Amino acid sequence: MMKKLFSILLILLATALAAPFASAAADLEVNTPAISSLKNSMQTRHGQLAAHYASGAIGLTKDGLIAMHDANAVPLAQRQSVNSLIAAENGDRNALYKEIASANGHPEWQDEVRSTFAQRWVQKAQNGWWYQDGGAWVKK
Amino acid sequence: MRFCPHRSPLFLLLFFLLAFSSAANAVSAIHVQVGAINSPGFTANKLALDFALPAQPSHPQLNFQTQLVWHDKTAAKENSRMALQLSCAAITNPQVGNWRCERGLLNAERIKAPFSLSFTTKNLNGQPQISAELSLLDVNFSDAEGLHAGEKVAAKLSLNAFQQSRIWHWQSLLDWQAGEVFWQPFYFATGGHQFKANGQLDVLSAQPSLTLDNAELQLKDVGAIQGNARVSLSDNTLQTLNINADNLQLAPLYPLLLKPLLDKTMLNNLEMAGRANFKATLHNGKPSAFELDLQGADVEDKNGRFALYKINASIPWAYDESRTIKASYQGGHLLRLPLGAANLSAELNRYALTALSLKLPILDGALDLSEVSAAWIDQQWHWHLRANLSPIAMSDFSQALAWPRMEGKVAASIPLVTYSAGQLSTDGDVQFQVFNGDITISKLAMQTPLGLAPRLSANMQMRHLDLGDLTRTFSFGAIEGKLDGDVNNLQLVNWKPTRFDAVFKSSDGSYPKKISQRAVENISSLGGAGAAAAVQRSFLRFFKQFNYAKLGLSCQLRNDICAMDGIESTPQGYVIVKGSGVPAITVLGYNRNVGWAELLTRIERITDSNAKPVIK
Amino acid sequence: MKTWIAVFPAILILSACVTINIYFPAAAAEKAADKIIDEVWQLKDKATPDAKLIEEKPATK
Repeated sequence: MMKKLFSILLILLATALAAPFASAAADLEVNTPAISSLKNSMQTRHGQLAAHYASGAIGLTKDGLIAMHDANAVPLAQRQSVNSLIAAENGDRNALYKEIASANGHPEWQDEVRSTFAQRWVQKAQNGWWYQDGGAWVKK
Repeated sequence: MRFCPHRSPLFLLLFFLLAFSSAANAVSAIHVQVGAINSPGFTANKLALDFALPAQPSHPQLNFQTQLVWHDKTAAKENSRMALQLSCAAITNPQVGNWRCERGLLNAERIKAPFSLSFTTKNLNGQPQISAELSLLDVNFSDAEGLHAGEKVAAKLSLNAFQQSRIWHWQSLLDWQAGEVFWQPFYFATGGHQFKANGQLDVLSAQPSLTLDNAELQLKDVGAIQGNARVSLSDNTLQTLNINADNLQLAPLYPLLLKPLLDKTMLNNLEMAGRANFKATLHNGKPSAFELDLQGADVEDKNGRFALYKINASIPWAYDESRTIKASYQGGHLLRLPLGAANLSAELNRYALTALSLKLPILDGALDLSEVSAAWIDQQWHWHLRANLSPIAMSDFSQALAWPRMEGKVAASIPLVTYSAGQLSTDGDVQFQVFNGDITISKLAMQTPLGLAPRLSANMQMRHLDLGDLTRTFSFGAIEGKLDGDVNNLQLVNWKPTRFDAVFKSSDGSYPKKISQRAVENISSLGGAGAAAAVQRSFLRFFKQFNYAKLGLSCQLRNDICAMDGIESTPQGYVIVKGSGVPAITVLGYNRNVGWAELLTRIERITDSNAKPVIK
Repeated sequence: MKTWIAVFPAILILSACVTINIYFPAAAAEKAADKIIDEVWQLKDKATPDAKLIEEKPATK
């Protein structure tokens, strides 16, 4: 009896932890650790890439990647590092499209994710940046 | 390597120049026009050559222009066109047989090359002899893509040659004095490099060839590379090549030549020091042998992933024979784990590497790799090995990795580790002896372990962990007792858990089971500030610790949501701590679905606030 | 025997119908892409880090 009396039930983990999980079913899952690490890596790299988009050295390709558009806009000493930046960025972008497709349980969506991104990158690009329209480079 | 002098338009131009020079004094201007010259690689259209002979004292002037069209073999692009203009402001003839082109200029789209040329022909005992000196000053050039370009390049090229029984014997020196050049993927910031060679050119025999003897490439600050080569001109292939370089300085060599070549590997951001010797042989167009020796070399990853110091290595390789690699280093680190001095030896047999045993000292223990076998197939490494980690003190191990200090030992025995195409899998268990208990990791597998988002999957089994040590280590309120845990189907992406089925509970058996008020508060505060205050408000605040009968918590992590349970279910929730004795305290959980990120931040807040104030 | 033969086309038809097409959610993908691009190119939260930097400067001096 005493024991029961002294037993105190602590109400724990009650309301505060009720995280809002019930997100709309229509959204794509883009919050996996792999996607956020890719996003962080691309965000950091963008600090170095931004000037090269603006100068026309780098442009957005029709397959959702980036490519050298006019290396002559880059001083010789930096061309090597711009090439490495492009390769690293494309590695991340390819991985991102793959991750988004597989995070949503449909690895076969990868190409559609890629083409969606290809359009949106161009849509959100700043004026003066170059992008591929069909086979040709166009200045936005 | 391509070399086709007999088809070069420059030779044609020289031919024109020479053919008309002897008759030049009789006329005041020569104008030659050619419709087109065709060659497999390109077509030269609308060739026009003007040779003006103004009255003395002005010198003759030359002007040549053409439209070049390259035939793109990939056929994807349109043929590229280029207008080319070559002129000499003054042509002089100071001596018999010696012609000079002063203030010459080669001008084309993206090419501007001022030059001067001195050209001498002689006939010595019926043997023709030529010598040429070309000075380039302030040359700028670039291809359309900008992948091969130079700025303000100054260079001198001299060539001497004589013909003896149909073979030209030549000797040349290229002195690159100044200017920067980007030649994808290499970048040379300054001049100071020289190339000299002599050899023979045989264009008249049935098997035309070019040989280079005593060739020497002197790279500024790096050292000299000697070699000889033979090029077959009928199919423009490199037949034989011997390269020999002694005492190359690795510190300047790495950024100049090695880094661009290793751009897509994990060796792309190093700092190197020490010296290297290199030898290579190419036979019948195929690599037949090489040898790389490192002397006192230091290699350090600028991203801090690994470093090896004072490496001495002899790495021979031959296409036809098996060779023995020997390597040693004095120290280093791998992912911040200190590595001790090691002596390694392995067999290299064409594209396969085998070693019976490699012992890598780590901290106070060692990683023994045995029956190592690796092969380079289809541009990828595939390997397998047995690994045995002799016990390492957890105190040193945790300190090296900047973890909270832990006591105990870590040891592992993995009968088989296999790596193939970015996939690492293990057979067998990794054992840790920590917190006076055992942790076993089994079915450990990794995808792209060195990539940006490495994936790891494993099962973990923990037995009889001392809760006292555990709670002290992680600055959680003190709990006395022993803990068992099973974490199955664990998946980490980028070292963060994305999925697991975890069950933790107090071990069976009899041992002191006490939980401090602080620990109860901490467990409670996981549920927010309100619950913790409940203990403080009640008379329970007078008790420093309570007895418990059992404790346990489980979590199934899916999609960032942890589905939680305890040791027993109650109508409202689940029991996390079941009290015993007087006063007995029972901690209940009500929320079965908890956001993982939120849970982590709360645990972090607790362990941070409980940590003793240590000033780092 | 005849019934067996009749079953075959039936199986074929059935198995052909089993494929469930899950259409690519184009609108959701576009929304997800926009969100990621905004973060990578920092199109939305440009003002905050700048303001923070300015505030912190006097403190360090």
